[in-house]
Amino acid sequence: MYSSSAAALAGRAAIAGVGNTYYAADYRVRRDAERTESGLDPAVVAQEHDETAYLVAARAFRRALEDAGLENDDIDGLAVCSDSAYALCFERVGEILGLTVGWGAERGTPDHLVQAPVEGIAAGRCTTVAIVYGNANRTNGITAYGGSGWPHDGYMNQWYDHPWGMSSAGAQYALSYQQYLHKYQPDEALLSTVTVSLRQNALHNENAIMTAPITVADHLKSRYLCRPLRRLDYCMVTDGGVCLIIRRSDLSNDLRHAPVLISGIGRYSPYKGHTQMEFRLAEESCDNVARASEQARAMAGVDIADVDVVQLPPGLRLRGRLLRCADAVGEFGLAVFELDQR
Amino acid sequence: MKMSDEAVRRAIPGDGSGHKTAGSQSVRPVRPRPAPDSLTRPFWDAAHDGRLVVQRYESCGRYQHPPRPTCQSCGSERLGFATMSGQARLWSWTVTYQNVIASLEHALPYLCMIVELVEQDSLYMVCDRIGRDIDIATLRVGMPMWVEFPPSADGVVLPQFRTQPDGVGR
Repeated sequence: MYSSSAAALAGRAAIAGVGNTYYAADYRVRRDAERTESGLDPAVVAQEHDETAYLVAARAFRRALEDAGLENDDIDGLAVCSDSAYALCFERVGEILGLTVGWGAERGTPDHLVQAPVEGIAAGRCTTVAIVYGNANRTNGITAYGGSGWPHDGYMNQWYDHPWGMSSAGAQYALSYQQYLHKYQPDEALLSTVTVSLRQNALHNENAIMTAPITVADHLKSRYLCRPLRRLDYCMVTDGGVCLIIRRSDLSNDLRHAPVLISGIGRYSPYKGHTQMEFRLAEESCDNVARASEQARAMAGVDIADVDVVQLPPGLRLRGRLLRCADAVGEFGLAVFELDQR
Repeated sequence: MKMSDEAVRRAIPGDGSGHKTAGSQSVRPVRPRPAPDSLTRPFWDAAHDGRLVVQRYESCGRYQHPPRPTCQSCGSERLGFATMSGQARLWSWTVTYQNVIASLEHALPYLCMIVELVEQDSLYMVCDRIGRDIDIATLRVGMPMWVEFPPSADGVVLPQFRTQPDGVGR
């Protein structure tokens, strides 16, 4: 599926600005509210969710613009992320942000939505794209992803298995991890060091929610949520907004910060067996990461030995799985590092 | 919503070293009811009759579960359902402690297993031991499993898998 002509896209677009909401501060406000509310009116929650999801998206957008040193009128492309059942409406985001665009992309996950703007910019369809994401699941009262309340047509269908009690992404990863334990018989304390090091990274992030250091012993006595996964293996449900401004490289040299050129990007998403959870169960799912990595490196024209840092998304950071994926990306002493914002 | 730590310890004595799971005896858990539609009704009807069926496409012979409108392998719309042998291997298992499905709160903690049917690689099916005892220390990935159709009070029959063949030590 990959052609060497994709190399022509290398360096054509750059990340010009980044905006986040204040995850830790927003979390504390929400937690304090939860402690004082005796019961939440579902109608009020639904409305507040709606308002809050767009609000955090808009805040992130403003901060990204400011980070880039750009104005609203500079934005001529919009991409709206929606990786859960509670998706933002593309048109409403455009309205709230006050944008007029000539290019758009929607209903992709955040990582997928970097690929389209790079191609849109290289094709001359636009010069500056805002990729916007907003999520208010904490406000919406969701304590875990999955369950009977999760819409059937949403991303990640577990609905067919609900009568048997299979309920969540966490439970699916637990199945995958149990298989890993069976196959490789690892020392669990050794794998705990992955969780401990992720928290250690969070200590260097002023926007992290959880900043208390943890030890291997803390991890091993952390209670199970879906055995063999423990509470400290999970990321939390939070509200949050994030925005990336992607801009044509030759227009990005006089911005507030040095632009980050996008040298390579790859994607390998086998959807066969998706409902049946194959993408989480099969060990080959780690090789999918390697295939996407190959595409990205081919486009960028870099060798695996040139790569110093690998960051992996949350779903892949389950201890054994993370190590397998890092191994799949390259076995040349890569430093696995993740800025854990939770 | 959460069980107290004490309640969890009662349910799984000495948890962490492979003891039994058991649902609460005092309150009956209520499973989410399946919602059969034109695509999935043959599966549920067959289960009600004590048969395990899986969608199979005539042109390529591949099985797929759960049912989908067309074959993922050949694109055919000529779907049928084939009766399976009911033999499987345990692929993996997990014990759920934190509730996500409200009606199963009183069953916590409970065991879910995923089995791979012998008819085809990666042909997975989920089963559970909600409300029934099992010693998780006896579970081995790859161990043979056999389908069963336990009766239920609400008339909805779910295919389940047990670790002993029919008639041996239920």
